[in-house]
Amino acid sequence: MEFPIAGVTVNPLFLAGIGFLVGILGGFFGVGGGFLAGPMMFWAGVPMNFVVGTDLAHMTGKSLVAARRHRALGHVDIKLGTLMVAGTIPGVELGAQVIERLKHTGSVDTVVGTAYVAILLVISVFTAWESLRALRKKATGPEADPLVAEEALGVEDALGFEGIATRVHGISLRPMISLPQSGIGSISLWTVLAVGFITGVLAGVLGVGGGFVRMPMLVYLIGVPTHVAVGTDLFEIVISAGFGTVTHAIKGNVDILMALVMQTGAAVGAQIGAISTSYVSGPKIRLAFSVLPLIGAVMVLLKLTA
Amino acid sequence: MPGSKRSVSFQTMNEVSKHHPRKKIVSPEPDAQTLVRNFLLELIVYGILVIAYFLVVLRWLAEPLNQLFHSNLITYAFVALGLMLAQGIVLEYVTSFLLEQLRPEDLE
Repeated sequence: MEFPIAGVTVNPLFLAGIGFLVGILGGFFGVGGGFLAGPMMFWAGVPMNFVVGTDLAHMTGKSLVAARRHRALGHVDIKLGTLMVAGTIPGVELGAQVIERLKHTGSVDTVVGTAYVAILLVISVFTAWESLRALRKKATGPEADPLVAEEALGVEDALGFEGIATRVHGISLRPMISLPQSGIGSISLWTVLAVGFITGVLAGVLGVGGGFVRMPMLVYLIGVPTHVAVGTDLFEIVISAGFGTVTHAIKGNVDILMALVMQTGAAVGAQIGAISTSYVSGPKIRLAFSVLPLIGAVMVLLKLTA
Repeated sequence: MPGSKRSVSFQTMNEVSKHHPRKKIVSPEPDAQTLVRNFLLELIVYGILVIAYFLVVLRWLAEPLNQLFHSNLITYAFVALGLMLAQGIVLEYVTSFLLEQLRPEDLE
């Protein structure tokens, strides 16, 4: 099928297939899936500028479907998501400025590439270690320490390492807010904004949507149950990817026909992914998630060494 | 004596529980069969939708959207976002509705 806007001929079933694959990942892990969809679209012959913009557009629709499904399951904390977005936007701006500075020094690829690989490896190793610990803790029975929201959500969850979240909750910088949907009685507003800001900076510097970074941060720093972290992350992606779609489309980088075709596959994948989270406990979701940053890191390493 | 009263009370409770055992509260168990069935059902529903979509909707949309892309990028940007969001909502509603109507649990 010919896509006149991008000026390429691509099999629509292939595009729907890509959408389906990243849709499952998005619905299950709360990530945008750009690390996978981008290279596959490029491989299919889509020009690079259209790859970035079109991927963002399809991500908006796919995340909307997944977020709505997660919301129906009670897995979206809209209050937390909105506050995080407020912190993320200035963070992304700062990250973009850091990139501009690095461009002047001529070391942007090396610095960003190395940082990207290092951060993703740390996230991957830590998430795998913690989730295995949590699974072992749950298996021992009485020592298992379920999160507050577990019963309310009707899902299983536990953390193998709660030290950071407990310390973060202990910061009593006013105003204090409560996040009932996430089972958090009291947390400083500034802490939530700061976590959003850090996520934004990393997303801006690394040039990724942020799902890789945001989901673990929501779980380990703020203490959000895994299922709510996935749903809330998707809610944030709808806003950030929607904003990205408009800015890229104005620059002529979005083939909306291609994005609509991808979304037909992504919509079903996203629903399946979202529904599947109800059948899997939090630590198992995190353990499976720990593979994704590793894939991202390997892809960047290959690009750096090529 | 309060102690004996309590032991009688426990005895009574034990008797009652023998004859009327308390139902065990079971958390939602992973049901792989339902999951696979839902998955296949959604695939069929979406498969039909996707083919219909390719044949009908994209043919109508391709030319006007291409013209808009070349004439007014700002309008195109907002139309693009609107289409993505609208399609997302419609697809989610349609499949949820169909799944509800078909009730996969009754297909056993």
